[in-house]
Amino acid sequence: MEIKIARSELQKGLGLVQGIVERKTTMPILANVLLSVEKKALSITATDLEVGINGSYAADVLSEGKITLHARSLYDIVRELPDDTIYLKVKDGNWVEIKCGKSNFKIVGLSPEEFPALPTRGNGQTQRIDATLLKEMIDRTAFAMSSDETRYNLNGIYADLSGGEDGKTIVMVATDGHRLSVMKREAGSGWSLPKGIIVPRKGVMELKKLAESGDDPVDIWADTKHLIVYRGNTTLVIRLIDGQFPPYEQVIPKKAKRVVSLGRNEFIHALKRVSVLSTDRSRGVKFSISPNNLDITASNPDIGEAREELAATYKGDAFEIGFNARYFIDALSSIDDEQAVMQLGDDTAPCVIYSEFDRGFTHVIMPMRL
Amino acid sequence: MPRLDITALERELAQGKLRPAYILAGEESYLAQVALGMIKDAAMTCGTQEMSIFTFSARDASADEVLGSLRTVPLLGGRPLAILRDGGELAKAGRKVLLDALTGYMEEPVDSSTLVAVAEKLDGRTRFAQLAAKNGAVVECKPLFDDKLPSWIGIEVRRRKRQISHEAARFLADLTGNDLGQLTQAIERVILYAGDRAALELKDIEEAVADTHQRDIFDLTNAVGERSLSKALSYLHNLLENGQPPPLILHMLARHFRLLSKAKEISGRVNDRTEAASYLGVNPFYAKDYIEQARNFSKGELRESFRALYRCDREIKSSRLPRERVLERAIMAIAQKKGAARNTGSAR
Repeated sequence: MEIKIARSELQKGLGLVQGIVERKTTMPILANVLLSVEKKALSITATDLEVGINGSYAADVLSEGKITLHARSLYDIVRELPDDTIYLKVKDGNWVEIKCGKSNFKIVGLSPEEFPALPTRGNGQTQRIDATLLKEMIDRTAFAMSSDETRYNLNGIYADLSGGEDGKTIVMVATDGHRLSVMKREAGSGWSLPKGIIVPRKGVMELKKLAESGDDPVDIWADTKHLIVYRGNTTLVIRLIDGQFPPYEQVIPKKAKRVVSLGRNEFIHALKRVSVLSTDRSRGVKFSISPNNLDITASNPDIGEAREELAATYKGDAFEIGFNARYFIDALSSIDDEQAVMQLGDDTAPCVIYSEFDRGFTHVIMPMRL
Repeated sequence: MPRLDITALERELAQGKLRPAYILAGEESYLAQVALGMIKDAAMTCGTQEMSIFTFSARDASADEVLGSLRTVPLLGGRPLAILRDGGELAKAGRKVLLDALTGYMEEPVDSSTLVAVAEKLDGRTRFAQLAAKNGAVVECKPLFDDKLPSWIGIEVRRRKRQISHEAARFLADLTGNDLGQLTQAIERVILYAGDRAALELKDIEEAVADTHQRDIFDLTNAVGERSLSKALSYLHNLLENGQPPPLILHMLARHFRLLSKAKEISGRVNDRTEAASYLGVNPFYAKDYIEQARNFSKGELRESFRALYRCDREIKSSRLPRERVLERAIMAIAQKKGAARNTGSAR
């Protein structure tokens, strides 16, 4: 293998795979990237066996071939090279010579035969989705994913890509057992991908990164085991979580006993201020709701107390309820509305946050016993 | 201040009493695992669901995660159950925030939630442990003494919807020893052997379980003191197979007979166990055994025993005889009753 490639092109390709490459692995080959040259392009592949990525980059091919090199070291070298053309040649014994300007490196790689092959697409069509929409759906759900590894079925985003009854609506849901975020969106027509897949946390983060990397639409294919995403010259392969997602729809209350609305920004800032004094033991704050008023209070025996009064639209009897302030801050920060609308029941019933402008967004937060 | 053993915990949970906090303290991890299983099962019957069980490690869990899971109403309802593993880590300086938070929580735990902390070692003097014992319970998960094994076997058998007599349970305990993991495997084997039969019998155990009990040196010295020759020889072989050095065995036999001689001196004169223990220089719990065993030997026999042990010592150090044979001969000389010895002698 012998190629000449622009430093910026190689750096872009290597930068994209850094998040996927396993740093602490028992399989040394997974710390490497596979560089493969065919026709007029350099293909860069990385995988941790859960998520895999492959990108193709224009290069001046002198001879075809393959090699794997340590991903981090190669990226560090390329990043520091002058902005010039890089000459890369594989020599005997998996040694690779890298030249750029007056810099000269000789690094050893591993045999490309050892590198695991990425799963390939099966039958069925891909479905096109707008990258901005995909990113927005991830942004409004991913923060509610669980990080508890013992609850592996909650360690990702549940996606219903079947299109629903009209073949247009796709759904993403995430929960950690205390809060639930649901996004339903119309995303073109003809959706017929699997109904209930769970995309793992790392896959979600790579998918978001891919969606953020430009304005081109994204093509998606999925079966019950893998989700494959195509964008331009990049392919992302994600192994899905094999588990049952909880019946999330039954958690969302059908009727609201109490509705409170108030300015979203003021609410977020007040929560941030008051939660400074909530104990680091539970992050709990108390909402005292009375007609046209919401008091947020927190106390910490080691520091002191905080109370903030906010004007709110509410007609009903006065009541108190406790919540984790961070859950509210996360949920309210993910929407753009001027007003935050909360639907509440009694002091052990869930609070539902809707967005006035995005009817597809529903967020449920469970109360705390303070 | 409730400190429960596994039997008391089982009884309490069967009555539907689920406390807001438990500390499973002790180095017998299998026992802790079983206790945790019992609490989980009981919580499930009180409405806990898989979604309302949260597992943390005291190595890296943050206080707000653990307390948040106890104080927050679970999404799918039910009673929250927070399991905190590696509880021994709480004693480390870096985990003080978590310990303080848990101590604060224990002052007034949420009645409708349950916290289970699993700790190999627990400093009972900490405020956390004291509050946990006051407002919840500390479940002892220490290695079980031999006398507690039959009732433990009873619990395990009942959990598998079978029955076992106390005699059969004692026999099983004697064959397997106090390694609870091995004991559970042995129970599984007996159940498989018994098939559909609800009651596990002595003969099932005889057929299905091999003698894998790793004896300790005190089993041997007690068997010799009880003049139970077959047991003593069987324990001797077990110890030698497990790598116990013959000089150590001999040393412990000599120590045992020194104590029996002292016990013989006070036999009939000192009735108080504590006083006897103080004279013998042993724990009062064991003093009774020495006094009882001393009754098995006359003063002359005890003198003969020391002669036999002396001969054994000399032969171990100087003769070419296999050490196992030398020890066997000493034990036979000591443990064999007079009549039996005479019989053996006449037979020779």
